[in-house]
Amino acid sequence: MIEYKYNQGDLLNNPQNYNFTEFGNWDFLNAFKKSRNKFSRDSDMSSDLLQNFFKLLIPNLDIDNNLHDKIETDKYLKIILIDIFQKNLFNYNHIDIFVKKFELTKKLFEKYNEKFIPISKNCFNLINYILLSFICLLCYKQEKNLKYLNTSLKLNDTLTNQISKNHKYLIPLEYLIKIELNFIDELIEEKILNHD
Amino acid sequence: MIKIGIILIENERSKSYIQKIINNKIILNDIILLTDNKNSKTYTLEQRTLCLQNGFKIDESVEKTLTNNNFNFKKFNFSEINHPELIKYLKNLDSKYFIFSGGGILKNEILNIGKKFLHLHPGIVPHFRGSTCFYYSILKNNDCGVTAFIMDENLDTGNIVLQKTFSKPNHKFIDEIYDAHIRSETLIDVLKNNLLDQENFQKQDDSIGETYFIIHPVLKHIAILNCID
Repeated sequence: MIEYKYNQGDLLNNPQNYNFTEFGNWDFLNAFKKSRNKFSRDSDMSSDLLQNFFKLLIPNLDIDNNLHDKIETDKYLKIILIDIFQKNLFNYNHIDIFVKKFELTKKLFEKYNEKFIPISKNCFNLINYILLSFICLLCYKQEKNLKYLNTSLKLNDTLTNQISKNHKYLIPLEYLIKIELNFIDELIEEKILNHD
Repeated sequence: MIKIGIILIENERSKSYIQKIINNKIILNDIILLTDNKNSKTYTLEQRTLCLQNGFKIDESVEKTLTNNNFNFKKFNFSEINHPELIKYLKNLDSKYFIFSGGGILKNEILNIGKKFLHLHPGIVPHFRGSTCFYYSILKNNDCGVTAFIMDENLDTGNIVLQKTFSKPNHKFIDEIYDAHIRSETLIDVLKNNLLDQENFQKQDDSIGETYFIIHPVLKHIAILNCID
């Protein structure tokens, strides 16, 4: 019996590097789903789900959108998310900076300077990981670019590693996993089950 | 003829490069082996058989291949491509080009010694830059590709020597066998057709394209199952 191991250990202090990961056939994908289903929200995948999730994360739109020389990650990511929902504007230049920051270190810091160098050592604010994962899933929905689904999977490994029952971010995580699993099922259907 | 050297390390890629160079009777000016003498990997019968079908012996070390073929080669007991001893040694060699086969990311110090480094990248640039591109290419295009380019200071943005597209594999050993196979086939095309002599390289537009990061195991599994299921 294969166990999904990529969300185990202390991932914020000892991140996964995902180098040369072993092949475990369908057993691996089943183990992944079983691991994720512990968090999956029991609701239909619909546009309401995305809207509801957005409202949950950003209950009011009263965010100071003046970006100063210090980049506060949660504020910055919320502005990106509001642009997507209100203007259908995907600011890929900025999104890609955060994707790269996370991919290289598997961490998101609370504050960066104008050159996107971390100026805070705090990488434990999970709302940043939730916001970026949601943004990546929306980018994947929009462009079908696997780069974003890839980053979201890694962010969700970190989140399922850090969030347990009664955690204040359990409900947002359940939304994320519902959306992620839906995309993975679609990809499996298209690339394995229905491919020529 | 332009003088070409190769920097080898004890990995599958180097094994495929040097064995196919020998099989194709291609002459190199300088051969360098970087080895940290770590325990060598073992391979299954299925892997060894598949490799033979792809034109190389995966269980034969690079050093053994070089020794068996009576090659003169310089051996260093480290595997870092940016090591000062290697840089000092390369500066005094006649070869203008060196084939790179791994050992880290080339830093400016080695890039600026007056030599050019040929890299075989397993992706068609600019669409597939970065890491583990063959998996992304299988999922997106249902095939894979290799770009031979001259390395510069940025990631996978150097001038293109040759691009080749390959059918996706029908086996699961993509990291160990397929990757080495498609890179080495492209290398042999570059060398047999004297493309480095011609220096008719295509400049990349580094403002377009996509850079991928190391693939998550879930996407990797979907790609491999797409090949074998």
